[in-house]
Amino acid sequence: MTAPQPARSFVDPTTNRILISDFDVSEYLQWIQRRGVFGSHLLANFLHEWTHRWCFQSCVGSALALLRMRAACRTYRHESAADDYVRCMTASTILEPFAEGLALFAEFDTYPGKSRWLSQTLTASLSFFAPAVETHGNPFVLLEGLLQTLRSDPLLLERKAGVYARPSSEFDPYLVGYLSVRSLWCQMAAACPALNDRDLFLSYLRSFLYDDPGMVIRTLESQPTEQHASRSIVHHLLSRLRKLVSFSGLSERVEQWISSVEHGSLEVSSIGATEDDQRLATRMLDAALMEDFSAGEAVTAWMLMTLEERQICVVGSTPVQLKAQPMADRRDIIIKGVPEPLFSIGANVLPSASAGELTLVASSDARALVVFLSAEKDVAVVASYGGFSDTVLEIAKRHVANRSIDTLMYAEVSASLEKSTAMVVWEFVAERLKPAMKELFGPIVTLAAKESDWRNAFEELERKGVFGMLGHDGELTRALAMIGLVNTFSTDISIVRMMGKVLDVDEAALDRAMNLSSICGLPLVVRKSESVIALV
Amino acid sequence: VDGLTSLQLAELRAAIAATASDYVTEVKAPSLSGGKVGEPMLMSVVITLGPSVISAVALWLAKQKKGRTKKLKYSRIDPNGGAEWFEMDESSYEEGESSSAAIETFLNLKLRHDGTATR
Repeated sequence: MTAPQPARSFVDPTTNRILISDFDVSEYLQWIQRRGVFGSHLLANFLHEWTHRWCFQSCVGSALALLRMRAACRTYRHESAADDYVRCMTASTILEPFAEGLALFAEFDTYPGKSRWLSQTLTASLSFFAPAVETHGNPFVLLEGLLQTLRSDPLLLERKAGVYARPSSEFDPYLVGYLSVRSLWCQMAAACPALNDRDLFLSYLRSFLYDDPGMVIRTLESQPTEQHASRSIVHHLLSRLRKLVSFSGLSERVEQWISSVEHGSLEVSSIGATEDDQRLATRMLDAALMEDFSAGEAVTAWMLMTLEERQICVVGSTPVQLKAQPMADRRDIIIKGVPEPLFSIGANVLPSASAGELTLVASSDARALVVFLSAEKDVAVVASYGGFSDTVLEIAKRHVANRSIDTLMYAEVSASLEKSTAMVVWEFVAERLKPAMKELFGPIVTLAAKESDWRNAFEELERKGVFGMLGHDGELTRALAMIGLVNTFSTDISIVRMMGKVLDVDEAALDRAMNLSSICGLPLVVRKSESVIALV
Repeated sequence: VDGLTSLQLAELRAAIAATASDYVTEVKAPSLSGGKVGEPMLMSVVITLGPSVISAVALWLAKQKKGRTKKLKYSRIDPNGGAEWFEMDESSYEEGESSSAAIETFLNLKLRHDGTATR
């Protein structure tokens, strides 16, 4: 017997299923009815996982989900799936450091800024975790409160410092990804003042990478072999990253991006893509969806349905009992361990059920939550917060009704993929991808280093992590991590020192951290008069 | 010991290595399967116990600042393969968070250390 481990929070990019560890549905449902004032211990994980979901809810995310799902269904039918699988895994692998980097940036850095834009991650945090407090027309105050509480939490500091000390024996997507995103933010904000707004930067970078029709085309286009496809995908990301760091016309592109997404339709030229590519990507995605379809073929029909339901986000579920009210023609929904019923339903709703399940579902735009009661295949809406469209509500009902069968089916087709020869082919290609990862991320992580220094700086980071570069000094590492956390709302040295006391950071280590300049040619901290800014 | 960040693991390793030879025998870093992505992983470490190692672990724990760690979980695996586990945080011992002696007493009690090496 070993200690039972809590589930690790994750998102499955194929189904976009989310799991937030420690999320207690009954506790949350009690809270949301009154929205009392207290920080949420779930927020760090929520910011991380929702950012993943938001990234994968995109044209690139859809293309990769389709390829992986199609590969699984093909192996389930005993057909070859290596080509689909290698394409999906190549793109997923080279984008993984960005996926993790963006998610960590959301946890440690993002904050409402001066622009009129609010990311989906912060919109979701506001919708799902903000207390019911009068803000006199400025709801951002609630977000600021939530985020300042989070960034003053010693657990978050330890989590961030832990990222700086990731095992460096192999390419680590958390360390390399977070440092890449931080490095891009520093450089891009210097070239485009609007991107000093961290939340706008998070949104723009996510869009640049995941709304990219060119990547959809490279993952789906015809190639002689899977190795050719893999190379084409890597080269595409490399050329996109070069475009990203050229910074030419960046301010205009960012302004164009905000204007277009505010009107609900992204102008892809704002992320350096073309409308022709956008049209082609849409056509290719539609064609790929139908490629294996033949009427009456159950597995493909299930695949299409599952891909459509990626937009639905089940946040959690809990079993319930139904109990008739003595004085009214209604039944109470009883959650075990909760003294008072939180909801009730009319006696004619799911009339034959005496027990069921409450499922909490979020809309993909993070603006609405709905609580479903299900029993067998019957589903009813019990409560909703914010507006779901009728179409999405129907998809959500279907998803909830079929969830247990879908989970079994998904496990079965995924297991067939795990045992297939596609895995062997991928292992071969993955080995060849390793040098490309360094070529892709080395220059990005070390953008602030001189041309003569960056290779050495990246090698040191890969081998030792930031912790190793700081002489394996844990307190200095924590102090550096803390400066970055405080920078989300202040660069003032007196505030940094005060927060150092709150977070119990060693004073001498904090002094040393504030005076860190460059190590191996990589600038770590900038200090000017009464301000200090962490660059990593 | 389950639930360590990489930094905590590095520090625990250094604390034990400073006392005796490296008694950290195995590090487990569970990965997410099926292409999933998620929060940074926490690691588990297997330590071969002896009196000096328990002292080193107690000293390491005593240096931890308040609130930085959720409850760490400890599994005691005896040489016959039997195992039991317990959780420990600042409220688990009496003398306050900075007393390594109190932590050492608690660990000795929980691990029922009898002087022979136990994994």
